[in-house]
Amino acid sequence: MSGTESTVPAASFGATPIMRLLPSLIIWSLLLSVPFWMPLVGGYTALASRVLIFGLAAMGLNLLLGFTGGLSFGHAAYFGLGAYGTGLMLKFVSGSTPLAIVVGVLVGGMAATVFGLLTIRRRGIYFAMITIAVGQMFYFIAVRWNSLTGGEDGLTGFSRTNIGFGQAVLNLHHTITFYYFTLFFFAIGCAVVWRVLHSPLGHTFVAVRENQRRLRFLGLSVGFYIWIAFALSGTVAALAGTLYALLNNFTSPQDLNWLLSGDFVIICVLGGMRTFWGPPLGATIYVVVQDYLSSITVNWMAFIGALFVVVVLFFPFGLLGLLQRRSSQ
Amino acid sequence: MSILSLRNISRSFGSLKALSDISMEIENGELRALIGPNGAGKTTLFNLVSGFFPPSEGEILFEEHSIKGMPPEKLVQRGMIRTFQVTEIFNDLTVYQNIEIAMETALGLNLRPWLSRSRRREVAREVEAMLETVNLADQARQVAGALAHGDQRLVEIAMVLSRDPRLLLLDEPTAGMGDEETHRMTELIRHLHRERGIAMLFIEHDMNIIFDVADRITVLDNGLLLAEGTPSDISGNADVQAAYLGTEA
Ligand SMILES: Nc1ncnc2c1ncn2[C@@H]1O[C@H](COP(=O)(O)OP(=O)(O)O)[C@@H](O)[C@H]1O
Ligand SMILES: [Mg+2]
Repeated sequence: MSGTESTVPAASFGATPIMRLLPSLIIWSLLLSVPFWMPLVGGYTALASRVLIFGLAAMGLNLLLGFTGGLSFGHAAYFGLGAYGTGLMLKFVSGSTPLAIVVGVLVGGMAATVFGLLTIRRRGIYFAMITIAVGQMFYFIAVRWNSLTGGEDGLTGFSRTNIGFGQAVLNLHHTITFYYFTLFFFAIGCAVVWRVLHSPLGHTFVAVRENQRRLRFLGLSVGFYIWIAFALSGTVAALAGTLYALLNNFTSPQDLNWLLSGDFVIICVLGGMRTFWGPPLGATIYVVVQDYLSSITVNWMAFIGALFVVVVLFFPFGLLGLLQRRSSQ
Repeated sequence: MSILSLRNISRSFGSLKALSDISMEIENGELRALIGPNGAGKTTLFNLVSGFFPPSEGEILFEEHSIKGMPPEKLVQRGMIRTFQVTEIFNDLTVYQNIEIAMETALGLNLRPWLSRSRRREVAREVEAMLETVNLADQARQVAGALAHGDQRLVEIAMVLSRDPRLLLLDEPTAGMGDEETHRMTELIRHLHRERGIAMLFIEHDMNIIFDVADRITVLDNGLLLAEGTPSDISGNADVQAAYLGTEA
């Protein structure tokens, strides 16, 4: 990134005045009231769940992409492993939804931790290529291992189950309940990412993005921190993947494919890679455009593509980066 | 005791011999200038000492221990740190953030996802003290990459000082600076030397500065060690005048 650009909203560590809190308050209020206003704007609640899930996956990716500076084209692998972990757990082992989520997060998160090791010595294009290669490996496994995964047709035959709390039952089959269930995990993911970004660990990630040579000559092993970022980032993506399997009661090799990885990258860039809320904003645009335009034309991706080009050319810090710059002037 | 010893080190790039058979000793707390024409091998010497790449031949000792083949991060942890001829800082972050990261690294906090209130205060205190030391308190909230060249240099120095080094390598700290900035930098170097007893090896072209602050001077020319001595030894050395000062010899 250019060093002369002086209006960049860097990771906002430092003081947090009340104006910093206001956007978050608005966002959380909107998210909490989705079932009330969604029908008024012609949407439906499951669409909002989808936004949250893609937003969470992109936010996870962005920890690596926007804040650490590692371009991964393989994060769908960890998203998809989360989804398959959850689906397989529900189908073959136990009907417990919480347990299935834990297993899905562990499967995806551990894969990111292990395969993240392969990427730490690579930089730039080689880093990106390794992430693609690893991601596609899982894709081909999912396609080939028919007996377990259902192959190209995807994994069916499982569905999310209700959660009992003594007498009370959380009815996850109810769309609105499931939305709040998803929002709960989205909030946990946000809290984790926010916590990390506002800590020495997050500062170190940003330092990796900014200048690896200086960081090394401050006494740190850069690769080690890229690995930590990769593992964390993949784990958050895996959490999103588990929710995706629960939303659809289905998962397919497409959820592991590098095309989806590319979509996650596009979502981050659209929304703003250097901002906390950029990826969820990008996901909102992506999911809504897909939902609206895909019923009109199969070429909806061309619209996203055009939008992507415009953003990259004219607003390199994404739509939220643009908004932030406007408001700070 | 010498803090740094080079024993017959050489470094080649293909057929180019950038450094040949250099031996030198720097004492604890010494302020040493390294001079020589462009291409003499000064930066290459820094690269070898700081672990950027290894010497082709020879031995390097830091505080009497061999550091051959040690990576830069290890050497920094041991107490040696450098600046670069082209400033290496976090351009898109504020001055405060630059120094904060260096300080958190110095305090070994990098893996922490959370700090206690007292820890946070400690970091803030240290960062603010460092901002005072290098006289950048007024620019703390500015983006480092947008500062004047001289101030960016000071940011880099603040970052390396955060690591509390015993040996500091400065590659042309005043290059490209105006008189005012040069004066500030010179005063800072003098201060760090006197008040903190940090040994320094600095590459410099400005003869006034060198004669003003250096305890001793080492002259390189074409990869060879041409002369070494006190400022008065060097100013009277005919070889140096011929090769470098290019005056009355
Ligand atoms: N990494 C490198 N690869 C090839 N040649 C190099 C490299 N670094 C330095 N050199 C060459 O070594 C010589 C000394 O360079 P340098 O140490 O940068 O000189 P100085 O800092 O004294 O101006 C120059 O001829 C330079 O081109
Ligand atoms: Mg040089």
